[in-house]
Amino acid sequence: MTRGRVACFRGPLIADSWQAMAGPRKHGTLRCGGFSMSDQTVSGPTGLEPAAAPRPVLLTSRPVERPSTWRAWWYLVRLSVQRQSRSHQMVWVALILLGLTATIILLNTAAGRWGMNHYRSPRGSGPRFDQYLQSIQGFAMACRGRRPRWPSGRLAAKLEGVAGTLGLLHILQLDRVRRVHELSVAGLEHVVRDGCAGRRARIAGVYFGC
Amino acid sequence: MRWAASANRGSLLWLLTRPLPRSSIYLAKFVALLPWSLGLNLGGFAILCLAAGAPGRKALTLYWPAVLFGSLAFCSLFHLMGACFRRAAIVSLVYSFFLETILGNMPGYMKRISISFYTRCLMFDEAGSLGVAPPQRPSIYLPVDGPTAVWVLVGMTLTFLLIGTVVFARTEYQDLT
Repeated sequence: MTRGRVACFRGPLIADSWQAMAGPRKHGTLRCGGFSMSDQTVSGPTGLEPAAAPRPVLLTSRPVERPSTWRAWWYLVRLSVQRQSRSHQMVWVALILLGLTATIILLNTAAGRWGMNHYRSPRGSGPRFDQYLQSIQGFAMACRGRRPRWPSGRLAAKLEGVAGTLGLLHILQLDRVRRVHELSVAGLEHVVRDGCAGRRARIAGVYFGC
Repeated sequence: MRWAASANRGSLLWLLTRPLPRSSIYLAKFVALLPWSLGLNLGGFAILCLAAGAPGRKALTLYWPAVLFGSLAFCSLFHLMGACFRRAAIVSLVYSFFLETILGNMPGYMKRISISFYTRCLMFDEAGSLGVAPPQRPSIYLPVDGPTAVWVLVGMTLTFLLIGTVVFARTEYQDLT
């Protein structure tokens, strides 16, 4: 008794690989000539049977499914997906890079740094955007009266801050905001110079809540 | 890219002896790489966007088509490279880091031969309603509109697949054992 797989070319041949591609594996008995073959064993002639009698070729104990190219193609797709899943090294490199990037993004999210309020102008050394905003709001609060309250030097510093914000808005190409801002700053200058009167002052009042 | 791995493992010979047309083997390999590449690209993009909070969710809804079509085009191109070159991974890396980076940022029409240009155009088209414009002046960047970018990316994908099918069907692979 010999273990192994035997191919017989007298009948229709279904090799293991094609059988795997074309359909489910058939468990049964293959008889070819004087040999009787199964998935596990091959046995020789016993000598009790007449050798001259031709024996029919029996492939399986179940009806044979016709080989389908479409099914074979999908089997190849599935096999390729399984083989690519074994590429551990590249997959791990990709997942590590993804994890690193996700960590950086989570840190940015936790620090609230997705806006532009932490940007500085001049870059690296100047005040932050939110500090500019606070200075403008403080300026607007100070302009609530009819006459300017601040000395000229301090007023000039505040106006310089407003001018810096205008430059930033120009750099960022936020034209609509810049136009409103320019109009309002002109109104603020009018307020500082002449008191809260006139059209520009009213615009400034609307914009800054004066 | 998978062809080189198959050839190195000796499984390409097994594939070529199957009673399947070579074109169908090429397409099967392409379909098989899509779950991994799209999963990593789109899934990774979704993870990064969701990690970014509300702005990230908005970016995910805006930009996922660009990531999808760009990934398909790159997959098709790298699949073709795998069928054409023995050292496809090196060629693909050189292409990604040099050609896409340099040509994709050249002024004028030179950048239009890169895939990433159309991906960015698709992103800019989606974000146009939010006031986000291309980084340079339109006369320098010369972007295309969103539908054009989609059609170019889909056309690239199909063209690379067709070329790869023909190349794979006509190539004689030697020393596969």
